[in-house]
Amino acid sequence: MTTLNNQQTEQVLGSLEAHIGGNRKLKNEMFDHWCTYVETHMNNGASFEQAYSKLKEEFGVNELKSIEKTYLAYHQSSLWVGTLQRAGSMAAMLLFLVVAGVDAQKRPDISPVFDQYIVSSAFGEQIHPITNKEIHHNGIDLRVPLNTPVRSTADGTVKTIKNSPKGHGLHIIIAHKDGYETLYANLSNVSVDAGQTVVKGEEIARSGNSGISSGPHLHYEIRLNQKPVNPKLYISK
Amino acid sequence: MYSKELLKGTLRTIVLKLLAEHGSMYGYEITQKTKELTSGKIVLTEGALYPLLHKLEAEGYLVTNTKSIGKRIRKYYALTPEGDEKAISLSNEFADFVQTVIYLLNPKLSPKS
Ligand SMILES: [Zn+2]
Repeated sequence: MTTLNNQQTEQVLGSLEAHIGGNRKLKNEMFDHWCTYVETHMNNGASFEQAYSKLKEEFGVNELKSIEKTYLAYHQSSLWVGTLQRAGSMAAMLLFLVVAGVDAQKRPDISPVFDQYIVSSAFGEQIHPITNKEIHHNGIDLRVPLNTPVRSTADGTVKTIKNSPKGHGLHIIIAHKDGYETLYANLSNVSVDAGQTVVKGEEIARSGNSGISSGPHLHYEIRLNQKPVNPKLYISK
Repeated sequence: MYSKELLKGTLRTIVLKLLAEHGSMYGYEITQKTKELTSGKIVLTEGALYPLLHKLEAEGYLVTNTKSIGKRIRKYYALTPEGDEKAISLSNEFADFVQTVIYLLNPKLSPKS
């Protein structure tokens, strides 16, 4: 995949800034959108100049103005409009929806333990129990008894099994689809091998007190494209 | 390509459903995937997509994650568990609606009551 160089990136940014107003959030995303558009066309054989002029052709000034307008109008508009006369097109859409069916096994959306648990340390800015310093907690700590069965929270492949006495202790990282990874730390025992595939709900380890830990607990993380996200938002069952 | 009026009420369903299927995606990817899956019959414009994504995020159906690519920041969207449920309920509702309309327009196809 082609990546634009600095000068090309600046050129795209320049023409975007010339046309778009103050909405920063929108501008950042349109910037990436435009760069990706140019890169995709270059990837398909176009020169930067060709791709760039195609971009300007496709997104004129008017298009950008209308994006900003839609943005403002959106919060007042009702979304569901049923247009009965156009049912033929609806059938095509149904086909599309059937093709893109939900596969619930992929996302880590179950609890890593089978039973009830207490969250002893939440995600985000927390006081570290041992050093007493404020740090960003990349996961959640579930207070569970020693040797509580730990399960994989989605289908995946065991990426790492490692023991870090000065960190996560005995821990497992499982890679899932679409950029998700889960980490299970401070374990006492691991029952899977690196490279092995696991299914959602499968027991992979027993909880423990290994590594830097102030008592028996399971440290659990979900990472999306290598960045930790709040597991609480994912655990639905 | 379908008209804006027709697509308006279904964009939400399409976007949530796509994310349910493909996990985390960024805006450009969503527009391309939609084009690809519908052989170009449904085109999501940026003007419709980004405001909708931001709205769904504010409503708690999506979470975001960013990645730097040089000067650019790429924003990935993924469903929260609420978003996952919403994707299922909206697409079920929509499929049901389509079925109803097909029967309405073609009474011969209706199951005999
Ligand atoms: Zn922890």
